[in-house]
Amino acid sequence: MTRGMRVTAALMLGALLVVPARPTAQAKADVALRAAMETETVKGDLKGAIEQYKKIVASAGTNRTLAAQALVRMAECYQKLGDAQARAIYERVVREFGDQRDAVEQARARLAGTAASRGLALRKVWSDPNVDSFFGGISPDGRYLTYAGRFNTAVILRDLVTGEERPLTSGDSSGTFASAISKDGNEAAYDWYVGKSSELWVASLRSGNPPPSRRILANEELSGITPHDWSPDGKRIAVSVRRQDGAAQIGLVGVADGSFHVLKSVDWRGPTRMFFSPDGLDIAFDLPANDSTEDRDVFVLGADGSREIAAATNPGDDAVIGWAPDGRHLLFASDRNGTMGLWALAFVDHKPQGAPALVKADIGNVFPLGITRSGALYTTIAMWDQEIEIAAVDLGTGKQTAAPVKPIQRFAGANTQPAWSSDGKWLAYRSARGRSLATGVAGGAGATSVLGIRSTDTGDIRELRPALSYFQGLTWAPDGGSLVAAGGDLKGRDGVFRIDARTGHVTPLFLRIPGEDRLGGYEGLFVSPDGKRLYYRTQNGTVHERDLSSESERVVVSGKPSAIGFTHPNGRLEAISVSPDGRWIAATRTEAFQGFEITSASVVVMPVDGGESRTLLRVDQPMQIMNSMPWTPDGRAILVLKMGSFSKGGLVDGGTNELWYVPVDGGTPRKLDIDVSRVLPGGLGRIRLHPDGRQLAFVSGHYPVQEVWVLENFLPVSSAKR
Amino acid sequence: MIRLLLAVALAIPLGLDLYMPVPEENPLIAEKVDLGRRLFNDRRLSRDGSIACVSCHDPDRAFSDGRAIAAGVFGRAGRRNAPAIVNRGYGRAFFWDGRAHTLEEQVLEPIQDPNEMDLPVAEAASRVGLTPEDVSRALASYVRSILSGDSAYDRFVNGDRTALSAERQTGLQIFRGKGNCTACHVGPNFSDERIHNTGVAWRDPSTGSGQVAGYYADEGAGNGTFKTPTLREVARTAPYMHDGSISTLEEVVGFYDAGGRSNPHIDPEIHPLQLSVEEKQAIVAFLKSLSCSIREGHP
Repeated sequence: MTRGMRVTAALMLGALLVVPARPTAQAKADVALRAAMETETVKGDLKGAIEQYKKIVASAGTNRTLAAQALVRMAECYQKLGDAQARAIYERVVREFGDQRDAVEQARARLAGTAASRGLALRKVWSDPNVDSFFGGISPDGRYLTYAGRFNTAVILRDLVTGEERPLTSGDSSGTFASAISKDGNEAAYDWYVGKSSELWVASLRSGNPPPSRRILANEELSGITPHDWSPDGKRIAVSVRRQDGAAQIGLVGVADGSFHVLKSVDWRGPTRMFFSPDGLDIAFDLPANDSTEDRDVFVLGADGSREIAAATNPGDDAVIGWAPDGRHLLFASDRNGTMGLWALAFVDHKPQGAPALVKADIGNVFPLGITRSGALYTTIAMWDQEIEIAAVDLGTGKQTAAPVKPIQRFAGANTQPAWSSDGKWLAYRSARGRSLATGVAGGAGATSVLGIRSTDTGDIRELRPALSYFQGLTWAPDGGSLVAAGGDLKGRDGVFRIDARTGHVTPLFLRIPGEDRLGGYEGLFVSPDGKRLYYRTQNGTVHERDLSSESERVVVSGKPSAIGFTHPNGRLEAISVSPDGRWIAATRTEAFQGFEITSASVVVMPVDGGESRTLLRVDQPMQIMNSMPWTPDGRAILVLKMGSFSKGGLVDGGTNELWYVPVDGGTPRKLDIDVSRVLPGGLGRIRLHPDGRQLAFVSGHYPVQEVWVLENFLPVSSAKR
Repeated sequence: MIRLLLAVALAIPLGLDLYMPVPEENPLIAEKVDLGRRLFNDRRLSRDGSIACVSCHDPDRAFSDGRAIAAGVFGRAGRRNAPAIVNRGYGRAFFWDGRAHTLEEQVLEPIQDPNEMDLPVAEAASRVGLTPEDVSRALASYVRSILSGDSAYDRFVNGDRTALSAERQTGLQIFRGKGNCTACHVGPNFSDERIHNTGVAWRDPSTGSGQVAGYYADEGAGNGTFKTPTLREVARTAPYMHDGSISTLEEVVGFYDAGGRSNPHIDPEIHPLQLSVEEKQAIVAFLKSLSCSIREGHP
């Protein structure tokens, strides 16, 4: 219940208290009408309200005004439910209540079907800069939301009316991404990542002293499992899984016994969302249309695996949104008319009927959370404001010589990972598009990343679409003909890839073997100056040198695995940077940490060929990782970005970013008078120095701010027959 | 009604999808599966009455025939190896070159092929008192009922961690990792249903001399590409490849370990693997875990 609704309810209750002691028939009717409206608007119980309106109509007698009002309200309830009776009732009002001018006008407007006349309403329910992803579920009454908390460490239940939150999980390891609330609103299913595989758990949403969460599916063969929706009877959960061989599947998990039945194997890329039809007999989902595109089509599969129907296919992008509460319309997002809009496709007897109708234009790249019993659609979208900026600097004086400029004007807000080519003529970057904008997640189903390359001479930009589900750690090969990035291919395999700078053609340099230590972070890739060797860091801090001709490898520095999740064991390397002559590796090394925060760290330099490291700089204050350390072109120093402690929303505790010039010959480090306060905190806050040493590219802004929106009164007046 | 058209006829074994695509115009019903089974074994569908579908797709050999190249009527030699037709109901492309897009289309071609059964479809249908459409639909329905699952591998990946020996588990890891086998042999049926060039069809008389250009002994779907076969029952379906040119699983693994056969159109996923002897043995051991008791017909 929103604050406004609670105020309305209070006013209504207040009105009830002041009715006369000897109510007249008119007053009784008014009370009944208000009570029905309260059931409709405050409780959100549309079916209950319909029954009350029916009684009012039946008992209205000669009070035609009351009957007409009740009929219009009743029709609106049916309309919210997507029920065809709405149209019939509106038509009855027009036909039989010609003397009730207001009611007839309302009915005519509803029948005309314009968005405005239906009272279509879109409002923001909540936003939070510290949430990684709202890949969660909405309760059937729209009051509660489940989502993954900060750093995906816990499933959070939020009361969207009061703002109260409580975790549904305990423990301090990283673990969850997605959740879904049961149709009775009593439980939530969520995934729990346990090292190399994921499990499915169910938590009670009851307050007080709820029973402990229970694990219902654990299988080492499932590297990922995403709960999408519960069946109406609460007995099954629709999930998408990724197997250890990279294959994606959709299936059902039995809540009682944890049985897992694969409905369909769906190649390497899974659905963005899956939704049970209200009768539980069908499941709607979307899949990529073919191998070479992230554009999707929408399908409806029998929940018993007996049939499948292509519901929305066209050359554009279609993504499932959900079902109308009565199951008579399948809703999906589509850019078939140029921009992403919300469309409805009528369904009768499990089959689509006719052409889809546009419900609302320009809904953006929303991600559906679910549709409530009353027909309100909850969606989430991430708001991006990440920009690449270039500051003019003089490292000799340590001063900034000009205010930063923003060279990339296209798709403003979603551009990151600046990388200068070795000749300085090109600036490459990653631009997020598609549903990665909605979820705030770089990879995953439906995500798209574009590689932009800007000419520093002309400012011209060419965009390439590498056949990768995501990429990060973008860096140029020395010859300028290609870039190297860590990422995932379209077969679901992680690895390091070479991207042709002219065509965008992708060639794997190597693929990560399932079960091996994952590639690490955003700043872990460097190609040696002669282009023959690749240096990369894995998540546990191991630095590898790979000969790109022979594919042989050696370990430069051994890593230290985390005991849990995102913690930083002492002595682990968190970032690396290779010197211009290829002889040295600079790195940050954790000395002490508390929780997720490093409290002490050092910057070290070590010979690539082995040998002792030397400490260049120590930092003994709460801070985040110093994860961006470009070398100066002459190889005499590294620039170290010391980031202040931050939340996703920005720097906290009065923290500030500082840029330091750190000589590698043992000279005294000095703080530069260069404004890096806007550099994006954390792993995405990359800085890159131009080969001329006078231009510093960096990423400014914040992590995506997640917002939850609700769209109401949008369901079409159904023309489908009962 | 298309609902339950599959469920009434088949029991899906462990490891396979519950959903099997079935054309709406050919619902899968028990009577038709029975009819298809009889036709599958009916030698009247060949010109000289000497062979039936089962002649090249022997249930005792996991619906393959053990020959390098299929044999047709009058002792004629076919073009390619008879593939093991298990789990074809999940297929998206049929024949080694993937030229048929439906089972209904596929099942009629061997009947007409001069090197196989050599009989016009109309005549074949007439011999058994059916229409060509009836023959097509019945045979396709029966082929859909031929299912291989519930193997040791399936039990392992569905939670029975004792179902595979240590060596086979090692083989599975290599299969998915260093061996890069899952680049093509992926999913429940161990096939991406796509065409690839592994170099099997490449012939290069100039090897060592550099004088004569190479060529494809069989173009397949073009440039020496062939559809990824299933690996279900692979231990029972030797010899291997589209031409039956490789006799054992050990040799097959050795072929891929060496990077296939280099040629101008070789698939980028094919490259030398540098597997050890033990690793190759482990892969072979794993592949042997993909056999089971095949189900066919309706329960």
